[in-house]
Amino acid sequence: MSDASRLWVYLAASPLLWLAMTLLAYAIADRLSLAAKRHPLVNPVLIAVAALSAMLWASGTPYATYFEGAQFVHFLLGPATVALAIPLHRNWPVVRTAIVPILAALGAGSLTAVISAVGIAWAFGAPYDVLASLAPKSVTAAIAMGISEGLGGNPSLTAALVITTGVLGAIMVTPMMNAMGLTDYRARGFAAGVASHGIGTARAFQVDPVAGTFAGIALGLNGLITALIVPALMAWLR
Amino acid sequence: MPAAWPFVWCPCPTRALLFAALQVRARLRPDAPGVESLPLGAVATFLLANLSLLFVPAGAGITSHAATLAEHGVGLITALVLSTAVTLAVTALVFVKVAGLGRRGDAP
Repeated sequence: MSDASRLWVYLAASPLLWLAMTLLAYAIADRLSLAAKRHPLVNPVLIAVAALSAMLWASGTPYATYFEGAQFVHFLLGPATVALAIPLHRNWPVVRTAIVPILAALGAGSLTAVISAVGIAWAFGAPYDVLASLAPKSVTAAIAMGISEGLGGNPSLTAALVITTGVLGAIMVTPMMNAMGLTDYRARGFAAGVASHGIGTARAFQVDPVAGTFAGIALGLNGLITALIVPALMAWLR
Repeated sequence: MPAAWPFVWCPCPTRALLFAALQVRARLRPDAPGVESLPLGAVATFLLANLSLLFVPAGAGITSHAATLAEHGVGLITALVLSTAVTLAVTALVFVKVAGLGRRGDAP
């Protein structure tokens, strides 16, 4: 056994190897994103995930082994969701005056997200269980998986669709809003949160604190509304 | 299907609780330094600035579902791309239009 492979055996026995790899992949991805002046295509989630997937594949590491180490980072999603209260508190005077547009955009966006996704996949002939897995794709993964499971979908397919939607939204939001000539950061952030949950919110915080605050509001409210409307809409389809 | 792809349940009620506590604090002690100058504010700002990192572990699980995604192929990918684009546009436009109505004060 060579020295290098002996070192590998030693490191691989500890879940902390994959924790370190996760942090390293993110540090490099975030540096690249900064160097590209936060260009939407240089998305840090996408780059870090691609790098880690390649490492897992090359080393033949099962995802469960990887997650033993990475769970410490994953756990922070909970505290981060609670931390969204702080920008909400700081920007409350701005949020307060926008309650009506928030509710209107939430209703319109939530319905559009579900109906357009299910409609397009249905037109392509996707079966019911795939449609049920797809319907909650714009909300945060935990809620989406619960909705999908309740409707007879496949929660783990839902999780993959949710993450993909998040990355797509985070990449698309800036160029789309610029092309539409929308300069209101409240609207831009809110759209990112409704369409692409936490990953869209992460993008919004990179661009502007007000956009991030509104994305965080959208992320929370859309989870609630989608959990109410998806079962009703899917009952009609079934 | 790999079962181990755990997610924490949305801690949104806890967020509402922290928000309420901060509002009450601002009301009771209006001269107190802002929350951003407290350790809590510093931690929250750091977490939110690096929010992308927190999605990496879940994202790395996508590879184990690549087969499922590919199986339903073109339909699913088309649905995701178009639906995300349409949702972004509709949400932002409705927000801006309704905010504009309110500002003019002549909402129908």
